[in-house]
Amino acid sequence: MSFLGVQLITALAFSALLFLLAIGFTLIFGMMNIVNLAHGSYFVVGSYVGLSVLVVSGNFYLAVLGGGLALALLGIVQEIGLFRRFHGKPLDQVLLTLAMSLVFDQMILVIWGSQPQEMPPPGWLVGPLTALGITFPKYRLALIVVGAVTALAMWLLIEKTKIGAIVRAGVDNEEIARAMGIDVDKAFVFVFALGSFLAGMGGVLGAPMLELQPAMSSTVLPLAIVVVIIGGPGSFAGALAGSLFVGLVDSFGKAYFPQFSYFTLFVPMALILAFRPQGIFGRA
Amino acid sequence: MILEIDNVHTYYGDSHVLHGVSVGVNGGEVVALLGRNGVGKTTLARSIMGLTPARRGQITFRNEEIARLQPTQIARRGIGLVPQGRFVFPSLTVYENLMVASRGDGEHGKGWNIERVLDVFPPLRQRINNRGSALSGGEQQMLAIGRALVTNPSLLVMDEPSEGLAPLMVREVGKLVQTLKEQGYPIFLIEQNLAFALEHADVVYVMSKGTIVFRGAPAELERNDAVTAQYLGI
Repeated sequence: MSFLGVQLITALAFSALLFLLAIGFTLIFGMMNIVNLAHGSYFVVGSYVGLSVLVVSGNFYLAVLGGGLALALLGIVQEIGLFRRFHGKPLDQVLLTLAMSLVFDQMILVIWGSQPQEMPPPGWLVGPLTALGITFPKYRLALIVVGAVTALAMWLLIEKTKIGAIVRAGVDNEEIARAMGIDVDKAFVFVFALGSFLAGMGGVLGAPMLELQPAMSSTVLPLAIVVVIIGGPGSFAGALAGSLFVGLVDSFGKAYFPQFSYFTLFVPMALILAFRPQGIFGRA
Repeated sequence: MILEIDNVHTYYGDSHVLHGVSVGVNGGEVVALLGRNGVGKTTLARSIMGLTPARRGQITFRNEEIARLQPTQIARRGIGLVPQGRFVFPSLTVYENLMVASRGDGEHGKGWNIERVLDVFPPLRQRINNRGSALSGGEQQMLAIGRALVTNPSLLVMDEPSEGLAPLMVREVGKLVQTLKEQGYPIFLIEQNLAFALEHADVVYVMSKGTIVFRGAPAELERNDAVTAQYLGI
């Protein structure tokens, strides 16, 4: 029971991180039709930037903000300076993002080196918390809370604000949105900045739980892609459901069936692609 | 002339769809463009809006050349589009569909806002929190028209507004077209429904295979059996 409880908390904490990574990826994919293969690198770059901010400032919260803001800025520069030039050319965009992910991975090696690094959580979140006779890692509980609060904030933004309605209009039909005079390009920049911010923030938040290493992007990006495929591109509900599913299956799969862990993850994805290619919450 | 389309050639890839099309819309006028399916009517609407830009020729709106502008820029200069197939935003509610498009105060005496659209289309008020995907065809058409109106356009481009609607709904759309005409809105009305177009238009054009084959008053077209038989299948 105790092991199950701890595994569940670990799985939900991982789901929270995946949500932070996947929500930006799915909005960018759903709205701009860009499969941003550099998105996993945003997570990793964010974590390393956060580490540097922590080393300089000693403040974990500044590190989280720093990681997020650095990636938001990077996202804006990329969207205006690069992606806009390749609008409507999906293959070019995929190759561009692949190249960017390689550049980012090399940048990490040059700036921060190849040795895995650790990032401690804030002091008050170190150690266990005992409840209902079960001992939980405090930091992972905190991640779940942060993930839930972020999910709520994103839902409110997407569903209850004008900018959220504009983003959803762009996901529904970019061409008609432009023909209505909606500044879709500004919305693209906003989505890119927000998605990159969340990925960077997620990287810093995930660093105390996952070991920081340059090759991490090749681990997290496939999971984000699975989340989006299962949940459906451009869908908040899809990102949430997909993150929960992948977090739970990945964590419990590795705990109970480590030799089948990728099988348990990618078989559902393959089934979704075969029978409902738009994803659970995506539109046909 | 508020809209002047001069010798426009439009292509889809290498496919030459519009061959030197010239059309004019004066202020306060309803100009109808008729023709069978696939002759290029919607392509002309798309060229006006910059969605499928003309490769050659000029499109002038309020004395400004717009053929090389982006769709957002063209819409913001005052052309409101009611697209063929309605294309309301399915994941947005009725209110949100109107909200994202809402702009300005208008220039024909009365500005259009969301409240006014809901007054004109009571069924939309009843469905205000329903998503676009949940509306009937007629309700979606009302919403598509309302969405174009809240942009407070100086010119409306309506692409087959009667398509797929029940006769009662077609009459309602016709009443709205008449009301807008009386308020001085110029309308470029693209239609396959000959009766609908003739009832409301001041000038009619007929298109066939991407070229204009007739221009004249509605009464002239009604009397011209050769054109209606050959190009409209009537």
